[in-house]
Amino acid sequence: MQTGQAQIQIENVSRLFGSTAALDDVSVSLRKGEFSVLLGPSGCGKSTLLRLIAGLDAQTSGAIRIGGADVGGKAPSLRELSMVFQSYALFPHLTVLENIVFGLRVRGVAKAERMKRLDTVAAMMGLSQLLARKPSELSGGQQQRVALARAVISERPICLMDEPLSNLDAKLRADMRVELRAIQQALGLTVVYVTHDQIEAMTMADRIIVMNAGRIEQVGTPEEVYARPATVFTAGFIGTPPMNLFPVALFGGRHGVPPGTGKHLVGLRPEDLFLAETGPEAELRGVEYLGADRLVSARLGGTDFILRLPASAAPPPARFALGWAPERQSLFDAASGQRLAGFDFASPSPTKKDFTHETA
Amino acid sequence: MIGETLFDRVLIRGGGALLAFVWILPLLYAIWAAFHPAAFEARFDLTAPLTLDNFASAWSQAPFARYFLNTILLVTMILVAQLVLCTLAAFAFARLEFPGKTILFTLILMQLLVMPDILLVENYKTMRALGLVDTIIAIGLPYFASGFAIFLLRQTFMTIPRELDDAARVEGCSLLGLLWRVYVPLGKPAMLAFGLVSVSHHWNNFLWPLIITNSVETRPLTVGLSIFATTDSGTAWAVINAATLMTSAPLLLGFLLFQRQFVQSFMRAGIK
Repeated sequence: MQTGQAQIQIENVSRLFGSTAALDDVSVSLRKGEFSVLLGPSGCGKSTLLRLIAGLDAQTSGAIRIGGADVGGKAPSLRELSMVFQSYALFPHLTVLENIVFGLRVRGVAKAERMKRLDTVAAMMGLSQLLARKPSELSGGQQQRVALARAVISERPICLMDEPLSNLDAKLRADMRVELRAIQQALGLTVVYVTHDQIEAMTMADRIIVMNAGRIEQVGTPEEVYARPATVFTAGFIGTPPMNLFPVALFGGRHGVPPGTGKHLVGLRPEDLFLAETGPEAELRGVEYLGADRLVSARLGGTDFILRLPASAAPPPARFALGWAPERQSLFDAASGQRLAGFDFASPSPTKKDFTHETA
Repeated sequence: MIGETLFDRVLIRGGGALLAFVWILPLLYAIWAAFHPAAFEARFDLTAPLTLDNFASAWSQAPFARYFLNTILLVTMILVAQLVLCTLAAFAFARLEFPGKTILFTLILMQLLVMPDILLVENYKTMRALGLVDTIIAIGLPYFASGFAIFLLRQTFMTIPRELDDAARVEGCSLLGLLWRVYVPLGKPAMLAFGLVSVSHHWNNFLWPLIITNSVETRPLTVGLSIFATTDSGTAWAVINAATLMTSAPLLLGFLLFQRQFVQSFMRAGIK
C-alpha cells in the first residue's frame, strides 16, 4: 500500500448557502490509502465538504483536485469514487444482488465480470445467503453491509462515507468499526469518513480533520489531536470528559507555565491531574464512580474541572493540593483560542508519528 | 371507532347497504333485461326463460367489433402518451431547478380546475386547424398532457429519498437513467392508480368523441352505443341493455380481477 501521496486536495474551498457560509475557505489534503475522518459537531460543514468531494454539490469558490486533476464541474460518476450513505440508500425495489451490482450494470460491465466480482464481495461481506432478499427484509446491520458491498464492488480507489454507522445499535457499531477499518486496510482504500462521534474517529482514523463552523480547526493523527489540540475548540470537543481549561493565573510561574495575567489558558486532560503534596488548593465538588476510574469534579479558584483517578485509590478529601504532569499541558491564547506551541514540552510519541508521515 | 353501540352499527351497516343497493340497481336491471326475452323488460318473474339472443342481435345490428377496436386503441394511446409525457414533466418539477418552475407548476394546477367541457369548441377549432377531425388521434390529443398525472407523479417523486438519487448519480446514472432506474420503479403504484383513473375515464368519455368523430372507423364504444340506442333500436330495451353490458364488461371484469392490486395502489398513491 502506497501512502503519503495526496489523493484529494481541497484548495480554498468555500460553499455559501445564501449569505451563510457552510464552508469558509477550507484547505486540506487527504492522502492516498489513508482513513481520513472529518469530525465535528452538527452543522460544522463536514457533510457539505463530503458532498463537494463527491460532486453532488458545487463549491462557491476554490478548487478540488482528485489524483492531481481539478474535478470542478465533473459528474460524480467520473470522479472514480464510491459512497456509503447514512440511510444506506439501498434501492427498495431491487434485491440485494441487484443493489450490489447496480453501478456495474449502469456502467455496462459485462455480466460474467459482474457475477465474478459479486461472488468475491458477497463472500467478503457475509451476504451470500441474502442475495435474493429485498432491503426491507434485512436488519439494519445487513443493510449496512449491502451498502458497503455496493461501494467495494465498484473497485474505485476512494470511498466516501457519510455517518454510515449512526443508525446501528452500540454493539453492532463497535463491531463494524473494526470491520470497516479492516476492509479499508485490506483494499488500500482512501476513505473519507464523516462523523460527529469522536470514538469512531479515534478508533478508525489515520488522520482526523476537526471541523467547526465551516472551518478546519486541526488536522492530525488521533494522538496529536488528543494530546496536542491546536485550538480551544478541539480541546473541548475531543475527549470524554473534555480537556480542562484553567486561566494561567492559577498556575502561573510553575512548571514552565509563564506567569500571566489571564491572557492564556492552560489545558490539562482529566488523567493528567493528580493529588499532590503541594500545589494550588482545590475544593472537592463530587465524585462519579465508573468502575475502572473515578471522575472527580472539583473547583480551583472559580474554575470547575474534572480529574480522573484510578478507582483503586481513595477518594480525595474535601480540599486537596492539585498536581499535574507538566509535559502534558497545553497552552492556549485566550483571545484567539490558538495553541501556543512555543511552550510545548518535547513529547516523544505524537511528534514522532507526525515526523514519519512528513517524510513518507 | 369509540363506543360503537348496536344501534350505531345497525344504522351504519343499514345505510351502507341501502346506498350500495341504490348504486347497483341500474346495473342489476341491465343484467336482468339483457338476459331475458323482450317480453320481460318491465316484468319481474323469477321463472322467466334466460336467453343470449339479445347479445347476438345487438352485435349483428351495429359494428361493435370496430367500436371495441377504436376504444382500445384510444385508451391505450392516451395512457401511453400520458405516462410518458407526465412522468417526464413530473420528474422535472420534482427534482430539477429551472427558471419559471413555480409559475409553470401553478399553471398546471390551475388547469386542474378548468372543466374540460368548456374547451370543447376551442379544441374542435384546433383539431380542424390541424386537419385531424374524425381521427382517433383527435379524440386523445387534448388529454395527452394531464395536469392531474403531473401533479400526482410529482408528489410521488418528491417523497423518494434524496439519498437514493445521490447514490444512483455516484454510481453513474445519467439523468434519464436515474428516472428510469429509480423514479419510475418507485413511482409504479401511483402510475398504476393513475392508469386506472385514466382508462376508465376515457373508456367512458362521451361528449368530446361524439363531437369530433363522425364515422364508424373512428367512433369509440360510447358514441357507437348512443347512436345504436337512439336510431337503430328505438325502445328495444333488452337489446340496448345487452349492448351496454357488452361495452362496459371489459372494464368491470378488469376491475374485479385486479381489485386488490388497484385498491393497494390507490392506498399507496394516497388517492382515496
